[in-house]
Amino acid sequence: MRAVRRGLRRAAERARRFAAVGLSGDSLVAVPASGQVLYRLVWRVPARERDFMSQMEKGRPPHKDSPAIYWTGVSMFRERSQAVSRASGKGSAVAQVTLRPEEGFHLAKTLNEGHYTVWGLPGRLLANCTIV
Amino acid sequence: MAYELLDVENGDVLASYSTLEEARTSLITWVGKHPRTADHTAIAVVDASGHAVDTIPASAVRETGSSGREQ
Repeated sequence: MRAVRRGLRRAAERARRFAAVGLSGDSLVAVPASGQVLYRLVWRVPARERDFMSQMEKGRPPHKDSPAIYWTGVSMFRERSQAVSRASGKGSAVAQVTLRPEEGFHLAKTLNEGHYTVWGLPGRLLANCTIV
Repeated sequence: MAYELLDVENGDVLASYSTLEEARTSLITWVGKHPRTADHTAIAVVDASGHAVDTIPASAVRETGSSGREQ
């Protein structure tokens, strides 16, 4: 119940901030990367370019319950443990990705706690990752 | 808790729901429409800190009855 209230407070605060600049409450703001470090599951080691392809780039269908813009980016997490907790146990590993500003990456805080959607060329994301 | 429809290949979150029932219904519809996704789609039960405390593979979610997990 406390978590629900906290979520509602956050949503209300976000809506207020968006409204202040003329945006609707469900707006998504993607910002240029500035050196953030995030974590992503990779299917095997060494990681491949495919590990950094979006659902769209993998030829997977978009999901009707999510904005299409999520389909064009990849999921990453603020903490390694958040990525690990979603691993399937089939030999997957975790990559630490440094989102260097010069690479043209963008990111937005989306969905649940610690979840980010990241946009960037898969080859460049791969080049900026380390298995941890 | 939040209930994510998860692509376990790389941890991509396809959609997020506030109840297990919504997530279960969504997964059944999704896999029914796109059968090839069945082997890499699951429901992740996510706590307030953003950690998945349980994952339920599509193979464990049936058309009728519960997924076997308490909501």
